[in-house]
Amino acid sequence: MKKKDIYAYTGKILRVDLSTGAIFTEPTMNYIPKWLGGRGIGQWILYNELKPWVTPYEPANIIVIGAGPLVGTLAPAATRHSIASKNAFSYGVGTANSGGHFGPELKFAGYDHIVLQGRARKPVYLWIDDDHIELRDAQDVWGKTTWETDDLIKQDVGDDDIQIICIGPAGENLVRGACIISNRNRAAGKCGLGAIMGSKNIKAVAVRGTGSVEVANPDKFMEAVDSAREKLEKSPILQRFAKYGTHGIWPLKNEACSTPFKNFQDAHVPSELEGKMNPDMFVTNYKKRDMACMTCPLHCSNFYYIDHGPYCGLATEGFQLEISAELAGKLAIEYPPAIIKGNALCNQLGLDVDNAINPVAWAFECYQRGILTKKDTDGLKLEWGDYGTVFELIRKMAYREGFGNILAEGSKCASEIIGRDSGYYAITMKRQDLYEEIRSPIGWGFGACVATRGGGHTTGAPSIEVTVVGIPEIAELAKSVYGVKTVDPDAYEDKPKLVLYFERLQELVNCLGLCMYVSSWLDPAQMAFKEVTEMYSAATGWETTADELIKTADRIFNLEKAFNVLHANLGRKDDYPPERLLKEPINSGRYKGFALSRQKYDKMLDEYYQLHGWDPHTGSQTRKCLDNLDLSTVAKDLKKAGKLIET
Amino acid sequence: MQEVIYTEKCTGCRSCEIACAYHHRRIFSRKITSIEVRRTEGEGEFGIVLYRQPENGHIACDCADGDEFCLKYCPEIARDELRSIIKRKFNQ
Repeated sequence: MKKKDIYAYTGKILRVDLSTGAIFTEPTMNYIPKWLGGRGIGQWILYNELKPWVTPYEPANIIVIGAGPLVGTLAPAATRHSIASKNAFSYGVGTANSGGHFGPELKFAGYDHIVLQGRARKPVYLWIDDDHIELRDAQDVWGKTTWETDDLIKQDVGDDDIQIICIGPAGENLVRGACIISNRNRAAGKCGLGAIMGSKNIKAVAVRGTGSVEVANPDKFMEAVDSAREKLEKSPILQRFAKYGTHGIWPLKNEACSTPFKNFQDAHVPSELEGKMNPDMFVTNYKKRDMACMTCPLHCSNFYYIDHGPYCGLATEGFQLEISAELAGKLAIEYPPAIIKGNALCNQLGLDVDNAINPVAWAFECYQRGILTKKDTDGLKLEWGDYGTVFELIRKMAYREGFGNILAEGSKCASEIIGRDSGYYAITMKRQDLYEEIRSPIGWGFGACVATRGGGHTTGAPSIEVTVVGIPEIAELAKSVYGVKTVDPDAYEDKPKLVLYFERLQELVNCLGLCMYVSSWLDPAQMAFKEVTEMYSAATGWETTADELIKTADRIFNLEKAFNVLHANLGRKDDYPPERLLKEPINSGRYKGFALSRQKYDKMLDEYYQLHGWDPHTGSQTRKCLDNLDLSTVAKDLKKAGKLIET
Repeated sequence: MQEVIYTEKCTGCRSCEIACAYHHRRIFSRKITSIEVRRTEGEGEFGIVLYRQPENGHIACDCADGDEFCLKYCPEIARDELRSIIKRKFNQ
């Protein structure tokens, strides 16, 4: 094989100025190896090119869509594309990633990243056919759902074997919680990235790639791939995932008091409701087959078909635990087909399920308490479990109709518009709507609170505290792999350390383009730092140690932290749970009566900042930490803003 | 026109395609492979196309019966089905 200049990466980044139509490429080598793959390069481009005063929906904002160095290879589930832009909620870091099949196709077309800037004068979609790049008229698909858009663009191109990411009506209407959908049901959900595409008048990116991805040392690479795949096949935890999808964890999550009920009035749903959402029932009654993202041996996605009732005939790729927790938990919906329907509806409209449903749950609780009345809700009566009304509000939100126009801003902003002390019931982190129960487990909640993008459990929150509730014998292995003394759900000890472990691992997983489910996040026996480093080294040909890769993860994480400080003035105050979750105890279940201790939470924050090398009191970054990570430019910027600690 | 063989167990992950490209050329790609997965996502249907002769850039399968490289990477749940599809097709 002829020796190439670069392996695993394609070597090219595509830049498209939607305002002028200018299209050009630049070498990926401009950014690597200092910045790593999907999330890493994306975050650096944001930091380097965006001024702090730029707001999310301005043409001056940019969107970076990237696929990391392992994407397109046989590494298990190396399929994810990562999207970066200014966060539509916090104005700080925006990052979300998605599985499906788009990432590999982008690599096969010859691009590691796409950078979109400016704003098109009329709706367009970007068509990438290897070297042929074209901005095409999208007037005919503007207004269409994501499912319709997928079909229509395939018809327009004349090929149904292309890959597409697109927005739905919610993105076009600049709904804060709009997401970017691929393969009809895969979402880059958080941070309002769909609305940012909408603000740029770009409906979709479609790609066909006939090229290839090459690795530097194929034998070594395949050795690492085979070893990872063999371990995955043997994992009992992952076999459960394969059968039920993530919803298989539903009973355990509830047992661990990690399922918000009726907004966040409790952290545990009643056992009768838990039983109605039994994972076996979904498999027996609705599952038609297993489905997977590209090159994933897990196939945690199921295909569902409803053959009775009001949603009879609905066929759709399956839902994740998140949607059952949102609809059955936060809104007390007891009708299983409504869970499948709600997921499909959000995907079709291009709404992130958490950012769509959390504002609705806030409205329902405000209605329960008399803060909102029918006069506010366009005459709708908001009663727990009424899925028809829930879907109507979701639709109104996507089209910004009536009360939906207020909900479309997210619950934090909606509560500021409504007033009447409704803010207490708006459960958000860094202004973004929150899915995660914060009170339990403690590490899970802490990880969601300190996440740079504002909530979410995919950038630092551990899952092991729930797993040990069902499989206590796994605790010893977990403690030794993660290097902590306890993984008990209600323990405060070592949780900052546990979160740091996963911040680093998830940063690498997101940068390389892997799915977190194949890493040691779910099952401590699976791939961790050593294994991903071996894959990365063999793929790129750059001999790298795990410590060097962890340093790269820390560099990117510190960049995100600095972006949040400089662009959104976020600091220690923004790493605390919503006031309500610090005040109210859990009312039922295993941890009935448990309330978070503010004092212990303070200590966790001190320790967490210290572990990062930040100032333990303020959480501000220090010169020493940034210099160690080769981030002197960032130190200079923070110094100028008066936000650097000189130690 | 190649025959599309519809499946019940295939998860649509296309690991077989990527493995096949690696088997032939030690690269990862979708367009040169002797096996192809046709995904009809909206209906949850996945079909398999096997190339016994070169066609449109697809290389002809050269694996020994029962020793196909793609099988190794097919998820466990779908492996037997793929094995029998290959066997049936190649015995035609």
